[in-house]
Amino acid sequence: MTCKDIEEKLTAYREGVLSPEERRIVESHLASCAKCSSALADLEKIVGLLKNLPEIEPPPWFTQKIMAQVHKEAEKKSGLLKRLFYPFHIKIPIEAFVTLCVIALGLYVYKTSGPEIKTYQIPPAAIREAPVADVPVGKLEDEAKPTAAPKIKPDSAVLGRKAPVLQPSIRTDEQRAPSEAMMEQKAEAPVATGVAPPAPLPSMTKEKDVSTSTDAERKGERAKKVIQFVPRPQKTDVNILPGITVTLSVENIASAYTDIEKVLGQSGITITKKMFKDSVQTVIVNCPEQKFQWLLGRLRTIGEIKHSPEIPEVTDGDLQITILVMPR
Amino acid sequence: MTGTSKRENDRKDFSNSDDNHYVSMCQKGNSNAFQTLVERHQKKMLNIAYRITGDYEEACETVQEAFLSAFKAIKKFRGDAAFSTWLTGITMNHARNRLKKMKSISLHEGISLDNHVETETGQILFDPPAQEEPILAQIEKKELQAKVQECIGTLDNEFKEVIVLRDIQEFSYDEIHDILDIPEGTIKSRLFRAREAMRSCLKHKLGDIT
Repeated sequence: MTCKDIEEKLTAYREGVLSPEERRIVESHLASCAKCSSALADLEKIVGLLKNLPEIEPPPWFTQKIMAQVHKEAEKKSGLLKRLFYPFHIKIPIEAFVTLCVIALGLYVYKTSGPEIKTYQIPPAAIREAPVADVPVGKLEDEAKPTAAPKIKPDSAVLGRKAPVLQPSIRTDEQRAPSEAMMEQKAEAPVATGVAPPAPLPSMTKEKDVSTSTDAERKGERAKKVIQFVPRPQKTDVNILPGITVTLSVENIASAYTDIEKVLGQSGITITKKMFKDSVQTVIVNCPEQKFQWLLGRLRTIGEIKHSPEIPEVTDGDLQITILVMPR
Repeated sequence: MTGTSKRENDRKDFSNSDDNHYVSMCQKGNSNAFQTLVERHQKKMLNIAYRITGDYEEACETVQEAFLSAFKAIKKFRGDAAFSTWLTGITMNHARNRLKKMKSISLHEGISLDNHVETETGQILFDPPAQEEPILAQIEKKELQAKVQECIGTLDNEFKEVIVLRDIQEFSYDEIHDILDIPEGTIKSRLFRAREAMRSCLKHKLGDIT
């Protein structure tokens, strides 16, 4: 082993990590080689010098200065986090509160208007059948139930809600004038009109016949009437009114109405009902049959009659006329 | 008390588990817990940085940067190695970068780094010397130490790093491997060459080192 080989092993020899064999070789060489022995001594000296280098002390302000920088950094971090999440800290409760309000409102709306919404989904056929089944009248009940019952059963819950809407209109028909009943029905059962298929308007003559017929006939008629009334047709309430309807198209509804009142006042025709809805002024009058043509003539001076009514054949001489005054 | 015994005491006092406790607190956002870590390790880091840079002011700056970097990256510390080992790696990186900067400045301004071992005011806070030592001996010792530091300053960075970590700070080969991320064989080889360079330098400065 050369001196260079030995010198390379001196560090390991000094640290005691050589194998016993290598250690013996190094020691034997060192005993006979002054140069390598001197190298080992130098190594010891150098390591000693390095190890004994004095430690320097940090300045007294050192910890504070480092920590000042650390705190600054921590603030910067938290500042960034705050900037990112601070809005959420505020918004989350607000958003939660608003969400709860919306849910509560939704539930309230559902509870209050839910049944009506559901009735819109009822198949028209079921609705048509329903009143027949619900009419609590002798024979009719017996006749209607066998056919209506199987169809009603699946939607019984819905029909249960439907019945109260329809029944008052039936009673009103019995006690009041037909046109009043119509007006009442229009106000009370808008839902039924919205869903049901169109049905022909019951004519004035039929109403009169009903009033003069026997009880049994009247019950039968009423059942028919219910079937006719319940499926309210179109959107405009006024158009569906039964009886003689005169549609008057005018420039100014207010002034036209004043004129109509004057005309009616002159002729002694009495106004039984008047209402204004959806830009349409409705006037219902009881007009003697002989004054009907005269009335039409006067109305033509006020506005344009869009729909010319047919004069019904009446026996008692009084007509119930619905005048619809609408803008051009 | 010698430097070596102080280092041994440091190792005894600051166990890894203790450090890990404070590290964990820092990771949970308690920045005050970092102060304990600073107090425990600042001296060791400052000595390492000082031996690498050879300049007290630069060493102070280096250590401040290192601690700040460590704080920023504390959440990434997984505890695979000891905190002191991890921190030493960060300090070594900062010291290396600062040395490069210093060399670059010295090249432009023509300042020799070899003689730049003390601050301008010369107020390096060394451990106080033993009172019984004669003043002459103290001066001789101080001169010798200055020359040793000068010789360290002449070493290439890779040799300087292993000699500082192994012979001055007495890290184990495993720890040096963790700090510098180089194999043990390379550490030993660099250490041998570093000591050879030191011997050559000291012989040149002192004439005879034995």
